[in-house]
Amino acid sequence: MPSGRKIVLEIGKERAIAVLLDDQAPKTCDAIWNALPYETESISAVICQHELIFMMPLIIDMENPKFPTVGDIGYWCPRQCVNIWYDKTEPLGLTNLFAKIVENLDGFAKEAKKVWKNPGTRVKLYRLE
Amino acid sequence: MSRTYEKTLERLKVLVQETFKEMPEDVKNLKTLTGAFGYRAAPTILAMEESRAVADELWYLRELCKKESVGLDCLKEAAKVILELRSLRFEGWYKMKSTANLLRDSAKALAESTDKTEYKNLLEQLMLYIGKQNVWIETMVPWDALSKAFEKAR
Repeated sequence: MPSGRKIVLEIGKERAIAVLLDDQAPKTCDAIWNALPYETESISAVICQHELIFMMPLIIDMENPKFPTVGDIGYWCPRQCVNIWYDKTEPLGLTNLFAKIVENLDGFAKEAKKVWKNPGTRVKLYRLE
Repeated sequence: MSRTYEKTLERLKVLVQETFKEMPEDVKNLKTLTGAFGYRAAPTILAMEESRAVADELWYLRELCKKESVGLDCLKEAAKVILELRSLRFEGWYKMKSTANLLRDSAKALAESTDKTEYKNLLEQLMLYIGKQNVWIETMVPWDALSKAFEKAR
C-alpha cells in the first residue's frame, strides 16, 4: 500500500480516499495538491470502459507516464484531464499516474458508473489533512 | 509584447476562469440548434468533436513549440491555418460566433508573439478554454440513450 499525502474524492453520496504517488509523478502530485479544493463537472469516457473524466485548469507536462490499472488516477496531458479508472478496463494510453484509490473504491465505482447516464455529475476533491 | 497580444491574453485568462465555473453562452445555444431534418443531435455532437479537434491541435502546437528545429514563424503559420479553418466551422455550422471570433483573435495575437514563451502562454490559455468548452458540450450528449438507439437502428 503506497503511503503519502492523501486526497478525498466525493461523488454522489460516496467518498473515496486516494494516496498521492509522489515517488512516481512528484510534479503532477504537487500541481494537483496545490489546486485543491476543487469541484467540477465529470463525464464518462466513451471509448475506454469504466473511466471517469474531469478537467482541471492546469497545464502539466508528461511525467513518468504509465498504463493505468483499477483504482489508478492519472492526469492526461493533451487534454488537461484527470482520469479515474474505477473498474476493469483496457488501458488505451499512457498518463501521469499520480494517485491510487485506497479506500472505498467500490462505493466510488458505484457512483461513477452513473455518470454514463448523467454526464455533468459534480465531483469534489480536497486534501485529507 | 504587442497591445493585441496583451489584450487577447488577458481576455483569455478571464474566459478560462468564467468557463471553468459556468457553461458558456455559445454552448448553451447548442441546446436549440438544429441540423438536417430539424434534429439537434448532429450539430451538438459535431461541435463537441470540433472543439476536441481544436484542443488536440493546440496541444500538438504546444509540443512543437518545445522543438528547437521548429521556428516561431512556422508555429504562427500553423496556428493561423488551424484556427481560421476551425473558426469558419464554429461560426457557420454551429452558430458559435463568440468561439469563432475568439479563435480568429487568438490567431492574430499569436502572430504577434515576439518569442516562443509568449506564443506558448497564449496557446495554453486557449487550450484550457477550448478544452473546457468541449467538456461542457460533452455533458449535453445523452450517450446512454444514443448508444442504445444506435444499436436498435443497426
